[in-house]
Amino acid sequence: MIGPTKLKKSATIALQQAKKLGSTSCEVLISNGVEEVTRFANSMIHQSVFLNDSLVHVRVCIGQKVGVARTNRIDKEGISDVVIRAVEIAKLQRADPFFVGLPEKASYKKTDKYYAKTKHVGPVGRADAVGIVIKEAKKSSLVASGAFTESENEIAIANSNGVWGYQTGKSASLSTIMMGEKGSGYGAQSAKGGREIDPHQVAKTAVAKATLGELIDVPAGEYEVILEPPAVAELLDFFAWLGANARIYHEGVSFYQGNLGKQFFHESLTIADDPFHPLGYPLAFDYEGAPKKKHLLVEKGVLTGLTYDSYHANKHKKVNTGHALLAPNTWGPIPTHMMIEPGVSTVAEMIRNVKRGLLVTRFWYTRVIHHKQLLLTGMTRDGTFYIENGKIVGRARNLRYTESVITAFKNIKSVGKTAVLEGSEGSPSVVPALHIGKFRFTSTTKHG
Amino acid sequence: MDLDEIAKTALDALELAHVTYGDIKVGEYAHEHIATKDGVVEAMESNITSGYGIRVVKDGRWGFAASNDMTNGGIYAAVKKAIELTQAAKKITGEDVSLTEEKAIKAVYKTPYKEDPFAVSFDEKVKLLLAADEAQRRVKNIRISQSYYTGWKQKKLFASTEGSWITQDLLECGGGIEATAVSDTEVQNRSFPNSFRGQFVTGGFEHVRKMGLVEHGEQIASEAMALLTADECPAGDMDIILDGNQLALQIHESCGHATEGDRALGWEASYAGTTFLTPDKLGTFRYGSDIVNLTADATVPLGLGTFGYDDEGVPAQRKYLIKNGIFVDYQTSREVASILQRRVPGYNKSSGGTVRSDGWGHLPMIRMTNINLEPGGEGEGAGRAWTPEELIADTKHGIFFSTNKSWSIDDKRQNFQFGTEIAWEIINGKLGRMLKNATYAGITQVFWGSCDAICGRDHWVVWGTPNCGKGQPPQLMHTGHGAAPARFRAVHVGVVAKQ
Repeated sequence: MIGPTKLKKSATIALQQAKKLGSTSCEVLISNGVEEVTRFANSMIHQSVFLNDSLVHVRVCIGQKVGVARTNRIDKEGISDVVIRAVEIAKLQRADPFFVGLPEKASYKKTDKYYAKTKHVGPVGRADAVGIVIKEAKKSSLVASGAFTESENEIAIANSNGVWGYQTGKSASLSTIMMGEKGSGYGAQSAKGGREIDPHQVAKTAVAKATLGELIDVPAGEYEVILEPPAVAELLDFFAWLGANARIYHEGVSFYQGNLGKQFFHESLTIADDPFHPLGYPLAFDYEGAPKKKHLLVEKGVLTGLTYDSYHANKHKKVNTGHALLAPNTWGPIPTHMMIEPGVSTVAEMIRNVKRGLLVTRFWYTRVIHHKQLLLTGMTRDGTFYIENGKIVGRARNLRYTESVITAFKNIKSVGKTAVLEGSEGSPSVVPALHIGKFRFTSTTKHG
Repeated sequence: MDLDEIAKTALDALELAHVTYGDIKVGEYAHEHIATKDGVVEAMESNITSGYGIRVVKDGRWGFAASNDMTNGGIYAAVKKAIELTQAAKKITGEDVSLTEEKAIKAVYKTPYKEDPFAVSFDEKVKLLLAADEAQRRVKNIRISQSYYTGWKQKKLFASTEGSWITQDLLECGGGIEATAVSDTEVQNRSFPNSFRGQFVTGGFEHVRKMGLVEHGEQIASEAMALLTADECPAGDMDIILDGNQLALQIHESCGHATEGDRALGWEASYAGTTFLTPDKLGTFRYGSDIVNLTADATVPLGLGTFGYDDEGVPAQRKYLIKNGIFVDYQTSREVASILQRRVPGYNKSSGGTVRSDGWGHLPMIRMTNINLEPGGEGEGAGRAWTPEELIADTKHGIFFSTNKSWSIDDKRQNFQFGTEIAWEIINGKLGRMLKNATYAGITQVFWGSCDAICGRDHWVVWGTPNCGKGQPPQLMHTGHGAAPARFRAVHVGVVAKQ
């Protein structure tokens, strides 16, 4: 890590240079870090990788003309070059009538305490953990694959309005898919440090999923479902992108349009963007230096809030909620710390309340069919179980679902009492299991 | 930045460390992007990143370390780290790494082009995009107009402990337009030449100039508006014709990923999955009808998966994956080819030259090059070369699907479901009413087995897909897919209509 003193000096030099070259305002974001991944397949480690990289991002404004340039060279020449490029682009830009300016100076919540006890285990520690997972798989005649990732980074942001923010972060995750004669099972854990990861528990979960129940034919159709946290997290990714995102809302594409303030989902559902959830990865400021805070998006089923960055807040005369991504952002201010408020049920209790349904471990390859309906399609994967009269009676082959998240969230029957941190294709989220009254599956496969 | 010096320093360090094998890919990667929306230039950016990735085999295990620290100290630290990773991996028992014998190559390769997109001023590119954006807004009530341009260039040097020393300068660019129409209940998009920001080629800016972005603006905006009130795609089993830009993604998902050798060996099981095309099926499994010929061709002009040498220093190649409907080969690396030689009786091929990484910082792995459905009428048993007009005229009742909107396939690459931006009903050999929210679904080998007509080379385009995800940590790769419109019999359509 480079540290705040040196990064502030680099950012200040960049801001001064931009001003000399004609910028009226400027933003500099510098990040730096390492990531290591130990990957295994066929019950052996087959890929071990390490990456050390940096990012220097410069947004130069000349009035309402905005140019962005980036580099990964953090030395004096690299920073000078990226500033020059950003200024050149800004000079060639057209004025954006909706761009008012960069965020003002703010104070930020400290995030150090979240990482006070965090430690990584390193390549040998990861290999030992992988060894535990593989050993457990072999005991049940399963073949293990997976990945153990550890990363550490720092991020600093400064702008010509006096914004200065710096924070460090760490993350770790271990996931495994175990494959046997009946099909596959998934187990995973995400945490701030590798030392918090429990490979025994990850392995135990995957073994249970891979070995539970005998394969039976479950035809496509509408079922009651229990979605475990990895499946819920995947649906929430799309909710974050196409729901409360102010860009999508003001384009008229989001289902929030016309429904803000209304009872829209089941009353047991509360969704927030919480950058300081104790289980998540804290973020004190967004990618243009606006302070982050918990922001309710759905409260007891009522659509309560949208997410804004400074651009969309200015454009639509709203309050900036601190959801800027790295400029230029053509995706909109997408919330990146999604969480669902836990309920009161355990998964075992949910199963007991299902007459005829499916327990879904996770989804795979989810894509949008209809934006406004938030109609998605994807596959179940690594453990889908058929429930009849309150008991798991068999193992289903993977099914394709085609369902609207809106419909699903309207039909929630209960919310799990335990929320966990889940990585997914989008940003990690903190979510419990959901019991949903009806969910449509449109085709099947031949493997479980 | 002196790439040669960095490579020499790394190779010296690898030699001193007595590695079994080592290589370095060092390079500078530049990327520029412009996006307009509703007449405003909302993105104009320039990105440059440089660094190196070092691969090592020691004691039978791989290690990979990448860094942007170009100092000698940084290079030594990366070599040390890569070796440290091999030693940690050795703690778990398993088969040692083996690689096929390949010739050491000293070469230079450059993408052929007429006009360097990075030399065309931002101002000129913005003018083109704003004109294309404005053309869409001539259509009354169009909600969103967008236009895009992206350029990439990479200068990279590959050097190995076996004596390879290859410099490549690759240049890619592309662009597109997208109009969005919105009603109280509907959102409908139309894109040109393709969805997800357009069409991309390995080549110069001359290809962006001749795309006709401005000329097609009004047409796609009108189609987006018309889709708001178009009929829903009906449900049922019927004959379908896929336009080339949709067929490209069908090839990508159901053949491209399915024939990756590393997936077949289980190396991607923890993330992207495996494949139903297991090694025991090599040479015998019927994947498609007789006229289906699919190739992995890194040599085809303009393909987004076209290069001189892969990131293991193996020359670009053209190979059949599916020959007259039969599964005949995988996309391979030196290691995967070596394993297949030992496990599959009669398999004696060397690396297929398909290993790439999406920059300097990620591990090179098997990635699609240009996975192409060969045009109709070419080669023995390839059927005749149809025209799209003949295909439609020959179809009694069906649907013509164009321009991808959604795509999803299972972890073994069999159960798929696609949606397109637009479709038209075909009745008695003629295009009829426009259809919205069109979807079709199927099982890979059944679907390709139902292919009974493919258009000829005059209608064949290599479509660029710059967003292929794979690996942990995830990498985004640029791939190409040559395709001409083709027909498939009795396919399940209209999944959404049942909602």
